[in-house]
Amino acid sequence: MKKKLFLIAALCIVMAATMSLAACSGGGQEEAPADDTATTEEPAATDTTDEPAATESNLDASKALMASLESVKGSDGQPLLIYGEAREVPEKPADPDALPEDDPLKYWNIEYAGRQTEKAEEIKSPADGCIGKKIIAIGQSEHPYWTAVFNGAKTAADALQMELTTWNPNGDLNQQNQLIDKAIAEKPDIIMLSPLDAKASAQQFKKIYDAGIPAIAYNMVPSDEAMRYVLALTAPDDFGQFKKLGEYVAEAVGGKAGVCYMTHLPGGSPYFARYSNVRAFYAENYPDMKYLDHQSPGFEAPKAKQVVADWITKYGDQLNVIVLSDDSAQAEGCAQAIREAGRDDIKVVAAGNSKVGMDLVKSGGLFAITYQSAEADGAIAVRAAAEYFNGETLEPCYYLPQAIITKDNVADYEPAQW
Amino acid sequence: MLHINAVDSGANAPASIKKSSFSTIANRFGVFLMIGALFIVGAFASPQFFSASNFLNILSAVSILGMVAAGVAFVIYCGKYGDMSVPMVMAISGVISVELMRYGLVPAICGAVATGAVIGCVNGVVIGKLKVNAIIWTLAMNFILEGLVRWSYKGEQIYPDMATESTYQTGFLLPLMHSLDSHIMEIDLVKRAEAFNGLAQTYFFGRIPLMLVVMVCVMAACYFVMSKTAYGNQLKVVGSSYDVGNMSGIRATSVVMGAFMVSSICASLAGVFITSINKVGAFYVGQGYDFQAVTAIILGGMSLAGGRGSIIGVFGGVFLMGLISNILTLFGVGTFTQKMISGAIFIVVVAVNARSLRKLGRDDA
Repeated sequence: MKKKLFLIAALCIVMAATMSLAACSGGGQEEAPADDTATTEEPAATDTTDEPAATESNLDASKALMASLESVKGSDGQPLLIYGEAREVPEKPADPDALPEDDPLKYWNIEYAGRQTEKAEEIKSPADGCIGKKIIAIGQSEHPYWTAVFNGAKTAADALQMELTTWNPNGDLNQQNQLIDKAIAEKPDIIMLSPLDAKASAQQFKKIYDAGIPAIAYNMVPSDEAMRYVLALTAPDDFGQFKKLGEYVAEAVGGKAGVCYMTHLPGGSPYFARYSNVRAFYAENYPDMKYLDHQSPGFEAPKAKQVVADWITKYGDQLNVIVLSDDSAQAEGCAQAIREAGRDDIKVVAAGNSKVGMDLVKSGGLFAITYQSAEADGAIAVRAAAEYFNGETLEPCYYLPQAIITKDNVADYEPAQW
Repeated sequence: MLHINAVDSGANAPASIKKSSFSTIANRFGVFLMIGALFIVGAFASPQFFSASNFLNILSAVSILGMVAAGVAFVIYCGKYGDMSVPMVMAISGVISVELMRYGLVPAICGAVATGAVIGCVNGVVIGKLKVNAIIWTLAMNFILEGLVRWSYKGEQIYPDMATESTYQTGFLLPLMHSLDSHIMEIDLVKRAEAFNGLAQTYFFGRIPLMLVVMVCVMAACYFVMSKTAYGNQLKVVGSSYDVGNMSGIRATSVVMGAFMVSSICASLAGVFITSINKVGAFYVGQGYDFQAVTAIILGGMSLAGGRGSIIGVFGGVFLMGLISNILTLFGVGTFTQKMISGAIFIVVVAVNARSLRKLGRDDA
């Protein structure tokens, strides 16, 4: 009995020690302030000096830091802050949801969210400089892409001497809602939120707005309604990227092919951008790019492999192009199925750009992928927050640049960020 | 003398319950009847359905699941419901193999398997000796391991063919290896990674994947141990009744520990292969395989109550899962509908199995 009690006690201690170790580290979930000295000392200094003069000096110093941020590089040696152009917005249809699947305007509310939204009254900027301001960034999951996003955000926050705390809800909407409540209770100067669900985002941003805290939507496009309560959106233009990718592969096959799609998780904006959007784009511009099938096997190589093998069995020579939502597990499974079937003629394109994806582009396993800098994804959101505190007027949307990575130019994008 | 047959055959059942021949067939071959039925359906799905390449695709796609299910079957057979630590055993074995592949494939695989064995041993001791609920403990173990991997790698993933100075400051063994081996940075990782990643791309006769061969070997070994050895008999007794096993002179703790070790070792092998396919070691590799394995095992006719079923049935369950997915995709059925149909088939198979067991007098089925 004693022995048993001892064993249980020993196990409890080991478990407790392990858990506290993991909790302390946060597993990358929570990060310490970017630069404790800089972030905590600066505001203290403003308290002890003449207020208007301190505000002015803080603002001037912040603006100087903003200028120097332009020269900061990411882990891939590319400039950390990169911006793309916003595409023209077509006229909004009366009821986009009522349009047929293949109509490009059906997805207007997601594709152009925030571009023409009538905003609620903006929470006034203190316009006293970004230095020392506290940001809470709520992400989506523990995926390595997110590690890179937060690395980029941290690099920018460090450079701007802002205090950044990052939280991850592990892909759980309920947990994200709880984190929003927790963030509101901590009263940061601004909250950055990457909404897990477009429909739920309106309520999430309204809650933050009602608490008097300004918010920036980043990485993922929220609903148009949510954009009423958001200072700005900073994100990749997934719709634009995939139109470009779709066009690139369509031109390569002479505008005539059978196309299968492996989707992102249904419900989120990447599902529509990387599947519905391309399908609608082809229906309008390349009618001979025939839709064959779409499946959502998730992000697991063996499942992706089976789906592609089944497509090859079913469609045979009719299958010429596969559009993937992910250039890692989905792409690896797909490449393996194609190799085993000896169907090197099938052109596979995917959302990028992970190391695995770029390696596959080099080896010919992928025909092309999109360029999406994860670090810039986090950094431009922090920069937008800094602009707000510096009293500058924000654009409604800031997009990452669009580019296609192929075998010819893949070297220009190395090393990969994740 | 152990009364294994008495436990198995339901000899204590009321005399009024007569064995129905259909129930016996359904109980023993239910999953294969379902496979036979699906073969008929599959014939309408595509002219290529009965091609060798299609069957190879199905088997190849479920190879990793097969390895995991073979191991978890031991846990269920000994009456412990399941091993929820499987996903993280796969993940941690994967990253350990990537760390050790610097010294070759054999150390990588041995290191991964040893890691699995240690985790299985801990699971087995706690569950067998302290009689902690297996589901709760293995779930807790899964969380602990997940935290460890995330903490150790700071949320990043490890690539077989890429390492910088900072890579050697993270992970489980890399900092130690770096401090002990001053030439570690000079190892040609690209060449080593080719061999490691090649595990998932090695084919026999140009078409049969290595991992399918490994899955069949694992299944065969598990079949032999479960059906032809004294340990297999002990598992059956402990699975049927833990206390009876103990009173019969069987060291039930060791038997349970062995079952969890087999489960973790199989999961670690699967972890090596899935890491080789993904070409990346990360905490999320292996997610979902715990439930998939239990589903395949139950489809294969193994009772969650323990002590009943066979590895042949488990193989049937694994193949059935691949077959369902294959046929539905060939019919052009979407993912969500596939899930609903798979769930309905699962319910039908389990219901038929449970009903036939009850008819045979095994009312705890």
